[in-house]
Amino acid sequence: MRMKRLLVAAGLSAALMGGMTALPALAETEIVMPGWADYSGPYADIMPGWEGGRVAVIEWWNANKGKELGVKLTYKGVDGRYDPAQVASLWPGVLSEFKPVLLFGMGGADYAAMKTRLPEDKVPMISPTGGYGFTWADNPWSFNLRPTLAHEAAMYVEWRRKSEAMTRPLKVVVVASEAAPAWVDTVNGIKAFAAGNPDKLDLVDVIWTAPQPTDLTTDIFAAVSKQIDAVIVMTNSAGSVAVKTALDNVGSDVPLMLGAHNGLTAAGAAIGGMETLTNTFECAAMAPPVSGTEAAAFYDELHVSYGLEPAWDNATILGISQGLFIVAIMEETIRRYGAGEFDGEKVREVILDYTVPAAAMHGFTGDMKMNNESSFPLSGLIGYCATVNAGAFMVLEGAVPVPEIPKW
Amino acid sequence: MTLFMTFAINGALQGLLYALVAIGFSVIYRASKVFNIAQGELVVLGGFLVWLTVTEWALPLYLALPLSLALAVVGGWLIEGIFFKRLIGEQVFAMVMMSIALLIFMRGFMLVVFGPDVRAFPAIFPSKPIIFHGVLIIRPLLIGGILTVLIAFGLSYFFNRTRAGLSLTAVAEDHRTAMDLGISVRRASQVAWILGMVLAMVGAVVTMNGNSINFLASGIGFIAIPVALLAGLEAITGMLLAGILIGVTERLTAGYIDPLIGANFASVFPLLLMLLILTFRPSGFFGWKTIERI
Repeated sequence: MRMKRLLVAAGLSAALMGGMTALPALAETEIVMPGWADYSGPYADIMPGWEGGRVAVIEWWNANKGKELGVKLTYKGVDGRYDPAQVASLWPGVLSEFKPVLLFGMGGADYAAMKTRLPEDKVPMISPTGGYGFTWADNPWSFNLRPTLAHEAAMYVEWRRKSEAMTRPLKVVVVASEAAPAWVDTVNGIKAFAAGNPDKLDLVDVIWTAPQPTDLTTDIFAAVSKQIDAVIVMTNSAGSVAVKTALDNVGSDVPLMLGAHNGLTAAGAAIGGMETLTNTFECAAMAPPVSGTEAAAFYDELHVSYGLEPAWDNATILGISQGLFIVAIMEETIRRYGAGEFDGEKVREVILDYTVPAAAMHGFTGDMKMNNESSFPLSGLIGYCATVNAGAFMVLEGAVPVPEIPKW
Repeated sequence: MTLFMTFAINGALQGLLYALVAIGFSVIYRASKVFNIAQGELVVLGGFLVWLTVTEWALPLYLALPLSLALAVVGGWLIEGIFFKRLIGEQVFAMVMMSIALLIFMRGFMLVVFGPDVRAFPAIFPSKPIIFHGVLIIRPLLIGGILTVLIAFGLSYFFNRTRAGLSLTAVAEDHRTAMDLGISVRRASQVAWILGMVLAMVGAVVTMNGNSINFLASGIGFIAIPVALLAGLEAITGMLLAGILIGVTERLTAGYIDPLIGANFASVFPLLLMLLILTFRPSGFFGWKTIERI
């Protein structure tokens, strides 16, 4: 009898203790957030910073906002190699295993693979990279935080003409590759800007090359003989290095303009030091990687308190800004519908309806408002142009407006 | 006219670079009967060995280059020992599958060991181009072209005129027959892979000189395949002619046709040319025609 009582008491104690430890877990709703990554493709070199930014923001949100809302966001990276075939083959597994309501995207390769699947499966996707001409369509399910790379190239055209008080069009050559749809689209966008603004831009030629070019000296020699004002490269870091090396080989001081993803810091690391990048520029509609800003202070907080190891550069900025926009959307959705009471369609409604305030973006962007006519914000965007000064990244002036380009 | 000559001459030199990589295919095929699909990966490995000794370890060139060469020899020996030793005498299909496995393994290996970062590749040769009567000649490609011609004729002499080379050729003909004749197939296979790895390293030095390197640089292996097939897999000196043909057509297409059509037709044109020629000459320009006695 006594033994029976002891056993009952022990059982009750164990049940009580188990229940107590289970209580917080029951109160917390976990939402899994999958994200496309690329550790074995063309963006493998910048992925640690990009994904590191995403993860740190999720940690920060869980610690600060998630606790209050009783929600834990869990990030799951999936290596799609920035390859549409790989992404398409992995998506059914991601969908069934994680049941996502919102997806971290990278860019054109994900979009190319999933443009019909996202609306079918009712999962919106958000990428921090530039939009594309082929995503500039009604009822998007894939959204970008920045305008197209062509818009960012046009920022350089406007800035350069203004800074040199130029009255003629800027003569440029674009170096591109057909290896990714996004790079071809950039060329189409720059062509559209040139066609709509013949007084501002004269696109002299397009040099098509491989993602890892062997030697572009001959192409650049032919290009500079056409009296051009600039070379624009928006492919990857290897492309930036090949063009800069070719310009140096032919002894040309024609300025080189790069995109943020293959920009000054990434190309500087790949060429053996930023001091080599004389007369090289970068323009982007995002926060610049400079110190003393609100965005840099937020990076410092993530670095010190949330284990963000990668350096303060464009790749990390992509990850942090993507993470901040996504957690702001998730927070608003949770507030409207309650944790676990919504699907991807409801999240998309919030993306289209809600203006993410600049305060929630911590200086990485201004107010962010998506629309149903394109994958990216169509107005009110600003950015920066930067160059290298004494081996260091230097923003050239204040905010640079993003020019309008006719839809292509 | 000067621009045309610039395109044509540098196209020919670029083609000789493709030929150098294609000779790697040929050497391994002639001595072991393996069509090494992973030759581009060997180029990247060779490049990383040079980067390691010159940039990472900061050794002077007179030490770094021989050390890279020694490491390449060890690399070739290890690849043969780990992947191909057990396939001696087996079906060709098994060897092709193993070379595909090698390609996948090498990509992962390079990512794990050297990481995904794009790294500055040292300038072994002077980068400044030569300008002669307005015609620009890329100096590293010129040096690489001369090296390729010397290597091609040297290897051709070795395979066709020396006892050791002829025994390697016998191995490629048939492993079992070669073994019956007392030829060491294992040694032939080792020599083939060591030569292939060394050639890949030389190709890497010429291709990446003063530029950059990461695991994606293996694409040159695929560009060299049309050269190897066009010449015929056994024809080492034939690679020079096929390389020049591919390089010049690619360069002229890039210079004159791509701007007209607004697309990268230059990357496809050599493959179309190869398909056209192989339709009429399936064993390539200089490939061996196999006569079987029934």
